Amino acid sequence: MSKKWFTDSKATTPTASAINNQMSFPWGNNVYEKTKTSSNNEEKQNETVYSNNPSSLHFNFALGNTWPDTSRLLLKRKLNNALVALSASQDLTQVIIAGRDVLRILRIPEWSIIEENHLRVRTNNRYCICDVKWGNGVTKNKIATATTIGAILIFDLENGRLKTELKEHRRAVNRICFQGPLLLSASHDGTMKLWDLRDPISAKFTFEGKSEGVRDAQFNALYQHDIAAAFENGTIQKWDIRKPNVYERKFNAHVGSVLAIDWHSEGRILASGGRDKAIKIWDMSQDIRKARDTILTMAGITRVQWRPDHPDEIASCAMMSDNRIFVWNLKRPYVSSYFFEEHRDVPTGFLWRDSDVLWSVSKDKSFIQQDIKISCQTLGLLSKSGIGWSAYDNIAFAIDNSNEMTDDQSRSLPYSSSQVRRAHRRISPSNFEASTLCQQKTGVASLPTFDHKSFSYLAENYKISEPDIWAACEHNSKVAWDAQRFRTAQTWKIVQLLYMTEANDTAKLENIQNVQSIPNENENVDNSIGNNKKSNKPIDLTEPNFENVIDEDESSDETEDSCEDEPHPKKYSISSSNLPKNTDQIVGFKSLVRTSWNKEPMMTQLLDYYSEQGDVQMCVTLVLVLGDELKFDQERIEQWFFSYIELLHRFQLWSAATAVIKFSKIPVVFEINQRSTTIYTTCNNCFRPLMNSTNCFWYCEKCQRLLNPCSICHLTVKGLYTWCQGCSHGGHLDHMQEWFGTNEYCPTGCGHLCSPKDYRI
Amino acid sequence: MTEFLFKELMLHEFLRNSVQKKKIKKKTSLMAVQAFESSHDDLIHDVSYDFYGKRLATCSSDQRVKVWEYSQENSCWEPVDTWKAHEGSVLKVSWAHPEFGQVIATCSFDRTVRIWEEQEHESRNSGKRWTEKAVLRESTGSVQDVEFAPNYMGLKFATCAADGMLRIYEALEVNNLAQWTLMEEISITTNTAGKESDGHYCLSWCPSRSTTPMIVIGCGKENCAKIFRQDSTNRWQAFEILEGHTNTVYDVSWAPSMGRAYHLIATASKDHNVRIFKLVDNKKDGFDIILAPELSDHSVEVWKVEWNVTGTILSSSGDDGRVRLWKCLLQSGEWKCMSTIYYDRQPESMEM
Repeated sequence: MSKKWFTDSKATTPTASAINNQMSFPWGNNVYEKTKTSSNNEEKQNETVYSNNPSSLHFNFALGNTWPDTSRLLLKRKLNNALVALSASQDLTQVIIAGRDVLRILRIPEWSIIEENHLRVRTNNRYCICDVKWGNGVTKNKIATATTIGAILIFDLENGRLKTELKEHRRAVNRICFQGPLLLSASHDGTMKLWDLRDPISAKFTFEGKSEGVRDAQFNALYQHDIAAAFENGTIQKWDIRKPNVYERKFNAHVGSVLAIDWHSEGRILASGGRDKAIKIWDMSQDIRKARDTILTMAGITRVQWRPDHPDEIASCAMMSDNRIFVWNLKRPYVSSYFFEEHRDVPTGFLWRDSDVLWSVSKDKSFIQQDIKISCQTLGLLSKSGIGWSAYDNIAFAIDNSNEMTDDQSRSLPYSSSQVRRAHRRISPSNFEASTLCQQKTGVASLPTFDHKSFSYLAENYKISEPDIWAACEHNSKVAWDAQRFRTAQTWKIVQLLYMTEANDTAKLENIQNVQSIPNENENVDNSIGNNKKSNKPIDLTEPNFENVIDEDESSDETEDSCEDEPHPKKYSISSSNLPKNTDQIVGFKSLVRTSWNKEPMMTQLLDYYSEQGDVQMCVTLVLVLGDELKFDQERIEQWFFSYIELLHRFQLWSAATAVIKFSKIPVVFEINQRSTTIYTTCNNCFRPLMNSTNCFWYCEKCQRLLNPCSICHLTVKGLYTWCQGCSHGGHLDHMQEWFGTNEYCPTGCGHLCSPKDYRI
Repeated sequence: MTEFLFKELMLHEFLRNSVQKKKIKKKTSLMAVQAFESSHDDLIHDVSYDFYGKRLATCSSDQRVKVWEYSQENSCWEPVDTWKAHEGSVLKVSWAHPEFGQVIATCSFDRTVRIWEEQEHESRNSGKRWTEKAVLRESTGSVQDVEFAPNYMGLKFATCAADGMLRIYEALEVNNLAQWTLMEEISITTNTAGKESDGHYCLSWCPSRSTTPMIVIGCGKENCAKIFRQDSTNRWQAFEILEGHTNTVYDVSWAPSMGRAYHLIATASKDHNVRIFKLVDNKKDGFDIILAPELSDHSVEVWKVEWNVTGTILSSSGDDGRVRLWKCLLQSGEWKCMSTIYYDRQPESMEM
């Protein structure tokens, strides 16, 4: 059944004129000669290039690149009216296209169009063409058209005139189909008729589908007695023309009407397309009512056609909104293999000239011949991987490593059990082996870069509202130390010293030894400062020095990360190990602190360092602790706050977030807690909203009773009222606290387990 | 189920000095990788965590969307529900901020954007747990990206489609997910042919609060990305152009700024490179753009880039089937590949 007519094109069609000489047209109407003027040169050129390298046609795609010469791949002819159907001559050199007031024959030697013939329908507008077909075999010089009024017109190409008019259908003829002298017509009146064009007086047989209108009917190319018919009500029937009384098989194929069917050249398989947007593949040799394969598309399918020489590929076009012609591979039902998008309006008909070249007509009034090489490979537009980040620095991914695969369609097909099942039923499972090799993998990787446990611990334990900077820093340093954030702990120590106020210096410094007795690392900070003092130089805590400190504890931080599991981190030896142990140093240190330092460049550097790390927790806590002492770009401080609050929300640390908002001195941040602060209540007896503020909210005017008295003391609760979300009983906060300190069940005796001990924090 | 084996490589240049190098080498802690069977029938195109990082949504060419939840008991990801969401490949999935409920937007090759909301009363894996709240059909080409805006802007999302349009939708009443108003429709390209194969667009909102909302758009075949924001008359316009790509831009990602003095935008391109652009406010209503050296480790087309929540680590994935993680070295400011995730087909040939 190969339709490759041009494999020997070098020999037969060197130039257009040669074609003309070789193929003298039997109907010999010279009128049409004039149309082929301009295309001669182009054609010649194309011809040469094409035949030089015929093998380059196959699978030489590089998507998205511009094509060197599209004239060999794309051919357009604009006509003056919307087109509805096309049909090729038996030798596939000519095509007839039909539309409103259009019925033309185009001869297409390779990549040029020669307009041959304009069949004149005796145009009164009665004839609105639905379908056109070119005969084959003994009828190869006949063309049939189906019309909306139910007539079938047969034209004879020998004289280009209307030969016969078959008028038996009562309603529109939707589709016609030739097989040698036989013509099958499918009509909206619910019948199909079989005509013998050798004796076209009346229909030879009439097949009563006893369903609704017939949308499509096709002869099986291999088993010539078989016909398949598609019905408006969603059924498909199979008939044997030798038994014209009743169908052989009938099954429900689609929801809504079946609009198109096509037999596979191999004879057993039928494809159908319906208004339900599905293409279904049926094995007609068995009495199975379930489609073998289903392809779900975007729009109702008006035409389907198998691609020649590619037994698993089928092309389809849609009825609305989609101007594309898709080519699907049954092995990959979800992603089309290719699509053609040259048409500017909905395609109404197409057919394969050969396995790579497609002819199509459209409502956009044009006829197009295009090579599959200018089509778009859908897979090339789709990403084969995906990544997502969670707040915990977990990364979810889907990756695919199918680049080594050569076959386009089995590329990157994920492996699933259903795939195996299907593969056994394939027409040609040749590439199946390859497809199982390449699989898309999904997984989640947890990175050790963000430790949410210590983040939460710090968020909940940092002091942010302490007016005494020294005490706050002291506390926060300890907290950071507990969370094994040694660098952070050190930073707090530095800040503590920087922002020491004169008034309470002395007392504080008495304790400095205690401070030093805590961790080894902390000494490092004091140490570097102490060293400076020892040499009696003015304190120089500018960049290099600070950088040093940070660097060193940065390193300790790195080690911590990798040894998180250990209860106590290994002590990390620091370059200078002579520790300031004697009180001399401390005394000197005291005087040092008194001198006013230029804190700002240091703090800027410090905050920049932390914000660079994305550690907004540190930035915000510093801002909150230092308050007005800290001078920094207000806009960035706001960003820290918003980012930190968002992070706290991500970790569902609502109380910490609220505290941050509450103690913030920045108006835009503080405002967040001022929004939606009203809780609307209704009477729990009559469900009337309690609106009256004069009478307060604990008394319902309608019911004339107090609402929600305390379950313990039975008095109205003014002030904080807590209640159980389960049984809705409650009362004074302190009463409830007292009760649930010793009890688990509701104080009213309703039997609800309000506060199970197991769930208490 | 076949065995999954992932391996991870630590690049030691990333570390500071030789002393530490030794220390780390000893304790090279493999990052924990847990594979899970997606059971999608075709390629997965996007994976997205919800705000809290507790749930995961995947979307695939098999026209389905799945939502997953981590089960502490079985310590694995379990599907909450799977449903057929579109009539074509589902290309992206985006979660709305949880203050608006459990809401997902998906966009597809079928030219629509759909909004889904979880129905708590429907049982899990019934296929009905997520209901379609709205279908937006404005696009005449496949919708290639959808992303909800940062929540301070309200319930809003932006889409870009193969027809060359950026569209911004807003639910004016946040509790009515069926009503979406098309607030903006902006042409993002000079190419007007409107062919599917011509347009490959992607977008990313600026995640930080700023005086004016900003979006970066990857303009596919124009080989660049453009920053869109409102001008003085509140019209969305392209301002800065991120140039330097020699082929189609496949993905863009705007890093959370976390109060840094600059913004970072990463792009993935067909020209095999990952690029990181640094945007510094020039105090004249615009940005100075600094392009960091191209990251060419993938050596194949790079399809996705995505920043972590703090904007400190960039991930990228490409046709080589690898996810690479990039981190900025503190001292030099240079971006280095810090580790790679990939599936190893021959575990015996694994090298450390």
